Amino acid sequence: MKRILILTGLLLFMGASLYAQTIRVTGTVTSQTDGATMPGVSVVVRGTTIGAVTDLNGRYELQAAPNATLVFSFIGYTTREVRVDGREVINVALLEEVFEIEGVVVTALGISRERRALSYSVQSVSGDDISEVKDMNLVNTLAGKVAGVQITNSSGAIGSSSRIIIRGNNSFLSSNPLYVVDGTPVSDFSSPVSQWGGTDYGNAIMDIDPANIESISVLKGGMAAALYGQNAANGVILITTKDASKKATRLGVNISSAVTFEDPYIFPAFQNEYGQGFNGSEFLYRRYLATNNLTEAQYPYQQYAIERSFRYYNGLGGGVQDGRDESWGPRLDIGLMLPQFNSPYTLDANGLPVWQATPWVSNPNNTRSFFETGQTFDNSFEVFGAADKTSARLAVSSMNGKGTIPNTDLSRYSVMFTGDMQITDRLSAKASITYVKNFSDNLPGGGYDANNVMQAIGGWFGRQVDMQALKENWNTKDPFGRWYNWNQTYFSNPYFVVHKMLNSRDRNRSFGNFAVNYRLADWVTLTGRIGNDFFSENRKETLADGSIGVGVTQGGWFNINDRSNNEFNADLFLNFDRTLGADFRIDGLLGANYYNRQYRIQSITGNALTVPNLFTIGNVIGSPIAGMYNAQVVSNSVFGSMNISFRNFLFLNATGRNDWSSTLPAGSWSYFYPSVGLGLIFTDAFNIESDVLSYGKLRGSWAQIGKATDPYATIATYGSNQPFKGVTQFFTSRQLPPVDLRNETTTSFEFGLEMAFLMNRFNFDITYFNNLSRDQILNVNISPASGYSSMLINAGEIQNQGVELLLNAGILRNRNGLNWDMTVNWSKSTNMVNELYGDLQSYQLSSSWGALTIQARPGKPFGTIMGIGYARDEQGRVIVNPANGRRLLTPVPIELGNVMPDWFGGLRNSFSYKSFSASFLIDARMGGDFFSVTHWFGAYAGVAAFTTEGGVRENGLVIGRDVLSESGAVTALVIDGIIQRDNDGNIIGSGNVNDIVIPAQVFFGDFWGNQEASIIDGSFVKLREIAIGYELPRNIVNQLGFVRKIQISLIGRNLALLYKHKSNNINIDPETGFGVTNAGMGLEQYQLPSSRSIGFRINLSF
Amino acid sequence: MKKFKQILILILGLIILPVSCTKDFEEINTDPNNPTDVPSINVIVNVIRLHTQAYYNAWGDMNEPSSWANHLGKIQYIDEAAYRFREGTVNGLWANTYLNLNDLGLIIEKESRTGGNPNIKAIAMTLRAYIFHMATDRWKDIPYSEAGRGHQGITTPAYDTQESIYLDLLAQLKAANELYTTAATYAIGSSDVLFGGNIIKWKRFNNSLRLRVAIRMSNVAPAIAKTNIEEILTNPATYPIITANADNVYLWWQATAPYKEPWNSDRTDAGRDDHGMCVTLIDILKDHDDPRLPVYAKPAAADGEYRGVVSGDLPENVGALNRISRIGAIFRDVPDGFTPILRAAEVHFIIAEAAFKNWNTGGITAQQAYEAGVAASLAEYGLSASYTAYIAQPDIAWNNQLNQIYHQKWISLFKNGNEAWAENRRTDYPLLEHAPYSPYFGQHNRPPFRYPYPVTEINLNKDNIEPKLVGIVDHMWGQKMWWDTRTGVN
Repeated sequence: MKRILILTGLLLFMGASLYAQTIRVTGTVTSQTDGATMPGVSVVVRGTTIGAVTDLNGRYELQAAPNATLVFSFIGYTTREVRVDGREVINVALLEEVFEIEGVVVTALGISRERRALSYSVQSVSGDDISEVKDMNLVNTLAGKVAGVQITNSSGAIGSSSRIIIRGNNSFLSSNPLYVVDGTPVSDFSSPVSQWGGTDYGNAIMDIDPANIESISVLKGGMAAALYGQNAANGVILITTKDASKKATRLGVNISSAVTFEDPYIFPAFQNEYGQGFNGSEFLYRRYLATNNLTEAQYPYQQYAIERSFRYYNGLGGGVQDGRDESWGPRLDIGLMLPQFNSPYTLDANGLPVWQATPWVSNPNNTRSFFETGQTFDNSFEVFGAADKTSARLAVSSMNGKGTIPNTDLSRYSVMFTGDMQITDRLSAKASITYVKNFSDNLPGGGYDANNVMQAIGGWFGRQVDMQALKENWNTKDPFGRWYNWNQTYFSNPYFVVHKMLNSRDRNRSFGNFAVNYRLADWVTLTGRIGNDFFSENRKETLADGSIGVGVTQGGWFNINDRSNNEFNADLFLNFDRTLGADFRIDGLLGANYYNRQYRIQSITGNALTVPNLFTIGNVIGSPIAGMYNAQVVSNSVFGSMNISFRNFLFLNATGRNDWSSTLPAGSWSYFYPSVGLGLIFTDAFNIESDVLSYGKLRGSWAQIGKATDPYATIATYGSNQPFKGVTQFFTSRQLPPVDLRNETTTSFEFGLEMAFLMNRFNFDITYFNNLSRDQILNVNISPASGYSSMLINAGEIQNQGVELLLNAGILRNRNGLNWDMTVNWSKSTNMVNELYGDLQSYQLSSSWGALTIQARPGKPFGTIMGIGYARDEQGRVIVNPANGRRLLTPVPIELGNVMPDWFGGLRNSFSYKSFSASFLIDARMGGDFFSVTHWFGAYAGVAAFTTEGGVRENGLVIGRDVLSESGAVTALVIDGIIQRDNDGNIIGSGNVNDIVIPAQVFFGDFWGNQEASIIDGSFVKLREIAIGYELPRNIVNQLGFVRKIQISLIGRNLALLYKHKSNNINIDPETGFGVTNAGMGLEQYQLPSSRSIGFRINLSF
Repeated sequence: MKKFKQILILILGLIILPVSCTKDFEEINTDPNNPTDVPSINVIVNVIRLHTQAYYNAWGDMNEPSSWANHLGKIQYIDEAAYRFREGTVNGLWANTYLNLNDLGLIIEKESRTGGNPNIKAIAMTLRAYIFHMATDRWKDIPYSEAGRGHQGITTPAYDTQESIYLDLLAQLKAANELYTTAATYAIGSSDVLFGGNIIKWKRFNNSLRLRVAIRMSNVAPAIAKTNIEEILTNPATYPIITANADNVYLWWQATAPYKEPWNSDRTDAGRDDHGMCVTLIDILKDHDDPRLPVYAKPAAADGEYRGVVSGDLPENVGALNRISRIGAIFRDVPDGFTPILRAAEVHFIIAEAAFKNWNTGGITAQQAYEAGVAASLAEYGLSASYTAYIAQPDIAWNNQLNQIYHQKWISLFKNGNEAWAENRRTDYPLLEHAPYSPYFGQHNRPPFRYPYPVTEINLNKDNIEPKLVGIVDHMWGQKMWWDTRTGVN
């Protein structure tokens, strides 16, 4: 509070002279590149808020003191300052920047500032860079483009969510940034699929059409984001939408149409040598012969196969091993004949089927052939124009996509209108409203769930299954009256899944804001802004009668789920900007914010239905189950910022913010946090004028950001379960309510060096950052024997330090020849957990099968993967049990990896030659482990390619020789029949090399007991984007008359996985995860294959 | 200067406005979704339902206790039956156990205050003893005296020895018996999903449970066991017990998810067909033409034969699934079926064992109790007509062998795997072998002695659990239960 009063005092002090003699100045602004007039250029009298914007013809007009300085700025151009010196006409030509160094950048609260005056790192991405090669999800278009920003798309499902983290994890729970559109925060609400199932309904920021975006500023550090408070601790993605004033020369129309085709490009590597069933390998066949004293002639393989390994009868175990979903059956493609689910049959006297034996052959592409070519049609239309005092833009767009999984789709329609108006000399207003409809008839299920088709066809699938038969007959019944399928135990036919197990969504959303500016004095402007983001979403999930493996018992199942979310922000702030003498300039703002979020969800579930597949409440057997939840969060804030510049080369920035948050206990509502930063343009300060070094800047900043918690966390309540036999069930909250809860604090500092060479053609920006988050509001697990599973406390400290680098090079520059620009961004950071709470040794972030957990552990990097590993001797050799030749395991979970990458970065090359342009983006990540269930169960189920390598099914295998040969294997030390252990419980090796032959199905079946074998290094290099454009020559276009510009592009996204780590022998997309929170990191459970997208775009301007 | 004043007022307004607006914050942050007080009976129903689901479903019973007791065997995914346990299952069972115990502890606290209902308090005490007993028979030493005291600041509760827990359980059950009252003022109503508000049935359950606890420790602390059993059996008016099937503690489920009978839910909701009948049980039933065979088991689909699997057998030896008997229809195929928590037959076999030890049973002989137990078990399935022929068979007819009681008790405990496994560890009857598919094959000569301690406890209550881990081998061996007096087992 005290600091705010000081700021106020300063402001009062500066009000010394409010009025001075002025003259009228006019002029035209042109581009130095081609001499064209430039509309939308900002012209400001330095040290005041008096300003104008050039009109359609590049003209401006304003009142200024005769000795004033005018500042001309425009995004993408070098800012110029010109002294008036009494002139009434000042014409200016602006130089286009090769790379943005000194231009204008949008900062917190939507305020444009000169980049040179900032003491922190902000990286911006232009609208063109993200809309040229579009993606359904805006987040994905940032991949590889911003240093220090890691993006992970959760799957190849249409409309899937993407996780974005800026400068690593700052929180144990969620490290999602805040999204702000034109100064107003908007929701990125998501309800992700978990590792155990659900449907990925995406994250809500995907409602924004990239075509409406003028630019995106990524505010990475604390200083940049501090004014936003709350969620800004994880950085801010600041989106500025297009408006008319900056582009209209007259009434303009742009039309852009694209069609892209998607197909899955990363598939697990399956074997094609053995089919469904059990005990079918030649090794087990020969062992059977030996045990029973038979010869091959007496008991041929064909007979063994049909009698002991696989024979289809009803897919429920009624035949031989035909209820199994593993591929440990007989060898394929050697002429065996076996009854199969798609074999012809006759009916016996009892009406039961008698199946013919048909050739037992492989279907190598059966999983891949399930997928279709997806299509996305993207059309956008915009019209904009400006008259004397007003300008407006209307944009309408549609995106219609069909997923690579059959019968999945997503459509998004968006209408956006922006208008602004200069009402009087002093008063202006601007309003923007966007309506979005985002709907889907069916989105695929994910995670370990029979609603996810990949659980069956990507994991527990017979390698002999003919997908075409499943496709042609999914809507018919088998001779037992059940839906046609290859198996009746665990999964439905994948075509049944996508047609009869549906997840639909319909979201209607409108967001926008209304702002009024009033110029109180030359140097003070009052801005009032109201922003609101509202959506209501209806989801309906239905499972048809006869769905397998998803708990459907009678008639079908449904869940209808309605939710709405409203986030309201009101801001009021005073901007001031004042020149003090010849050397000093002071500017800044004082403001207040009111925030109110209301969230509501209601759901109805029907577990059994009287009339099959009629999904209505009246049709539910028993009572439908209803659920409801309401929540409200309010916060009030005051904030201020001040920037003092000295001779335009030394800059001091400071901010302060105080929040009052309703979610904290009464005594802790209020908390204050400041920031301060300093920037020095040393090339100007020390007059280093050089042809080589054109620009140099050093900057440093320190900031704190406070954060509250979720609503209703402070008091113990009772939870309820669905009524049991009509009786309501209550239980005490499993979370021990907190004592003395207070706000979290993230403290960060960063230092940066920016240098540019050869007229800015080569430049770099390197930043060191260090974020320290402490007192996190954490729900830490406690021993359930206490009666509670967790307690809410302020605890923990996470530190995140690293370096990020941005490098730009204008390698070739030739107006009429070849131009080549290259941009590199790279980031490396260490994410350490310094402490948890008391002597707590682990905080569980997520868990998977068996003992596998992902944890924060004190003194370790964030995201340690823990699980059961192999028992090994001192030399690292695997120890086996001499009684059965099978692996022995560690008694307790051990550290198996870490989810955080070592480094990641992007490389973009852009070329242009006359009317041609081309660019490609390579995106890389090194390190970052994950646990792959596709690998793990791929081994257990015998479908993975590596389960047949080296003839292990023909000959059996010896651990240490045929598998795990890189580490070797010894037997355990056994004395008196007991395996010996050391004092820590570790098994002791005998040193004798293991030579016991075991069946492959036993070795791979043993993957179940440990997780070490399926930890994969997630390194990758991907060809992320390609765009090749051609602009039709103007003289040809002009002959068409009405068209001004025609551009055609060939575009592609996610084109190739150029590199993967050798541990990734299952060939999973290393970019994997669930949803957008920390809980989804480092886990892969039947990932839906990622899609490659290739297509065309045509842009027309009128 | 007028303008200047306006600016000043605006600035002051900006600052004062939010500060004065926190007055509704407490109301805004009051949870509209969840209550802060509820009727105790609704919490008790949640405990009964949740505990029964946890301990008697596929995870809590079929995969492990029933398989380790050789009632069932896994025929697919033969992991748990071969002792390859899932940490998540262990952690979940431990957590559910203690969260339920906490709910009961808070009810006892609440109902002890003025105006409380003694019946509700007694029910909570009975259930608390019942759950603690199941938990200690899984894990041996566990937090007891300091359990459920998180709200008093104890987040790392100390462990108590199984012996001290047993002694206190007997005291608690005795105390609970004194509290039950049939006074109308304290009627508990029809929300009682176990007995429909019948207090006498609760009392019978309470005292029969005390017999179960006492007989379990009868080999290691015979004097205390004797005192407790004799007190109950010689004062039937004060200590009513379950002697008729009508008083059996069965939890009946509802026909629809998510509260279908757990074994049925495993088949119909989860779609699993992972369990067959164990060869040990099938062969014992066949050997004596046991009329319960077609009730307990279905004939194999392939040939109509009754055929069991070796529990935890090597997958390659399991053979074709259609040649294996599955679980009988009344235990597996009825969505609104039952979970048997404590049956009359078990009580009769406890009395028979006490009589066999020459304890004062109030005049009942070992033979009488043994025959009553067999009769009750057959009657449970409507097989009373077969009783005379069955009991007349050699080996079945009473000839004063303790193993006859154990034999019948083991059979009668079908679908109560927790008790069957515990009794098998106490009696070593029938003699069971270590599963062939076990990763510890060659190391041990019996099924597990105990359940693995949860990893969560090692992470979250390290100092207290570490001394308890000493001597445990391969998670489930090395440490026998306090009451397990077997020798030569490992």
